[in-house]
Amino acid sequence: MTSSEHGLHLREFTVRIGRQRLFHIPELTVRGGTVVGLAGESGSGKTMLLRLAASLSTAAQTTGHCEVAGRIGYIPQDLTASLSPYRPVLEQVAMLAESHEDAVAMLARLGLGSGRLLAAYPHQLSGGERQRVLIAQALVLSPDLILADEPTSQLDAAWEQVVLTLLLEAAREGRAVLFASHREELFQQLGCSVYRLSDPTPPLPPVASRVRAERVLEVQDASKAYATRWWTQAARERIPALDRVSLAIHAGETVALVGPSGAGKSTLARCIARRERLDTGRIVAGRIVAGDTQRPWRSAVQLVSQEPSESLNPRLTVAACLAEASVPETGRWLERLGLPASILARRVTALSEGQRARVALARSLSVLEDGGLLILDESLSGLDDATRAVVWRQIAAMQAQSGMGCLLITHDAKLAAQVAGRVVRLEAGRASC
Amino acid sequence: MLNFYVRRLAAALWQIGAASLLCFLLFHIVPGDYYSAELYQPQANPAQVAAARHAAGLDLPWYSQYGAWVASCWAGEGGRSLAYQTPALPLVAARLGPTLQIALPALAGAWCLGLALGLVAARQRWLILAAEPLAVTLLLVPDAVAISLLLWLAVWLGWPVSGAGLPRWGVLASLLPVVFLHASGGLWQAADLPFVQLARSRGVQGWRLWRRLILPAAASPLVSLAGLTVAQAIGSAMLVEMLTGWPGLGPLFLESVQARDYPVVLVVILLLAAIMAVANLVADLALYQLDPRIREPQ
Repeated sequence: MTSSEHGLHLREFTVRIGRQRLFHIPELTVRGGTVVGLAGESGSGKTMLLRLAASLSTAAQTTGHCEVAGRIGYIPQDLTASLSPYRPVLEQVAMLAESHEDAVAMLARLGLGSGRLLAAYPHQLSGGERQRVLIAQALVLSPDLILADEPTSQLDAAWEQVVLTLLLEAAREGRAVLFASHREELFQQLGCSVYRLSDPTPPLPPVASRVRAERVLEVQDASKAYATRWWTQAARERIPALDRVSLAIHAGETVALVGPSGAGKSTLARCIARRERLDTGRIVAGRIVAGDTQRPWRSAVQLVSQEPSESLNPRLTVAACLAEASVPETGRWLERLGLPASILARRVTALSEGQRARVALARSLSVLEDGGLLILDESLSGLDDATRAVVWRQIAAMQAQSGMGCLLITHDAKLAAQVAGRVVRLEAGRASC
Repeated sequence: MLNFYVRRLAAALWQIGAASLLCFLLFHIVPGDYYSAELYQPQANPAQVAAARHAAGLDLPWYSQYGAWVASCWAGEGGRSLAYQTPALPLVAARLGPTLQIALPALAGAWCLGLALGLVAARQRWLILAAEPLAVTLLLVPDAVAISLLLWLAVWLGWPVSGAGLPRWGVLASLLPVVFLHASGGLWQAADLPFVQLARSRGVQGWRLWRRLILPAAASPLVSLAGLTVAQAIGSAMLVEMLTGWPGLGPLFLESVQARDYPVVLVVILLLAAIMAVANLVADLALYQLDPRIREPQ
């Protein structure tokens, strides 16, 4: 089936965007039966390299030698645009598989075997479930070369293990695996060699934060239910998302909100940011009561969402995106988050996921007034450790300086333990400390 | 689902009702009426005119007139034509058949041809570059000019000028570029969507790729357009009828406007509004079926 000749071979491979050189690879080989990790800071070109190897269109010009042998299974990073919204999940996997049964079996291995999930459309799935569909799609092709782009970014620890095991199994069957990630511990778990697209920068010392007495957020008995059909409000047709949640955040404090997929974490974030309404309960941020007009609210609460790129208009340049929120001193904000001022002129679509996340964050931070609340909904999961340290330093500095509060929604227990003073668990719509 | 139907139907009825009131008020505001138009017997003296106005109820306040008209609609008459002195609705309804004889085959033809050409052009992209200037040119030529050119061409080539053939081709020519441009553009865009590119790179090809991924993604805007082109087909058919003398709604409408026979004009407009509302309703329901994001709960 597969042999050691299958795989990827790059020699003196250079990638440019316009006149700027993105990266240069003297030599990189991924043979059948091996796993190679692809590391690099946010924006170093990990996704670009995988897309080029999968012969998908990019904005880059390349020189040098790139040889791909065998069938490719590419697992894309973008969870929204990579699946057709018009077809059920099973069909989208089955159209790539040899048989219908193969597709069902693969989805079942990834925990998507129930009838409800098989018949579901992508918009009905959570981010983690969509990511597993994309993995199933790539694996049912029985590929000789697997190109995995951050394939566990939306998964909790248990599913992350399942996916890593699947990839190791694939390597044992003789397939070649190139695994791009910004998380070093995943490479250790895979026990693979690592190719670095950029040198890691040493982390900066943390800024000490100080929690003050006054509160920046108070959520009292917040409840919300979704109608199963959009036109009905009848109680029997409603699925509870939040069930009498109470939560308070003090100025300068960071609270981590953790819990399994579908527990209502994003719903709570969206309600606090007023993207959605509560059914009952009260949310107070600063001195503003929920139900007032929209204008002061955005300076009190800012939400950077799960897929930050979706909150940036793809037609605009970075400068125009920041100008939308009338950000003063744009260059300085980007610099603080570790982005060069030169990206101001670039289009949002030409940035990497990690860079886009930081642009969205810069816009949110600049809008917040003193004593505001920043909500990060998995928005930093696309960043490597060094970049994340830079970003956290900036957030911590603002917390110390202006008493900003931060609500951090994450699957990453390590990150939660590092930066949060308090961890709140949300399970089936109920909060516990 | 049933609730969705009922809501949309109620909205359509409300739209037609509102349109009738607006048109009625508009005609009321415009100075003059049937009896002051030039076409009314020139030898009639003012006393006779006033008596005729009174007999037709035109001296009543507008709301009484509107009420009387609504009541007459309820009775299936739609007011009385002042020129023909018969109920307006049967008069108009009799002309609807011939108009649909022109509009519907032309509509069906334009969609079949436009979609087929669009599909071919989206797969062979150089064809779009070749066909687009032609389609845009056709689009820019006013319908009246296009029909006149077509008439002239028919006479020159010795084609039959009477009958339904020529008007049908005329309407088809006015619809085809719209359908073609939207179909080719929409399919082209859909064929470049990220999930389509991904499937293509994974070896999904040909008809399977088109049927499962590209066509569903391109369908929604085309269905909305289909609803709109029904109204365009009828409007364009009416114009063609005026130019070729086909006995449809067009000549009746023109004649009624010139004579200020407002009851007839009103009924024609409302009939068009009703057809448009129904077409949009059908398009909405089709969209509901086509897009799982609307159909399926989150």
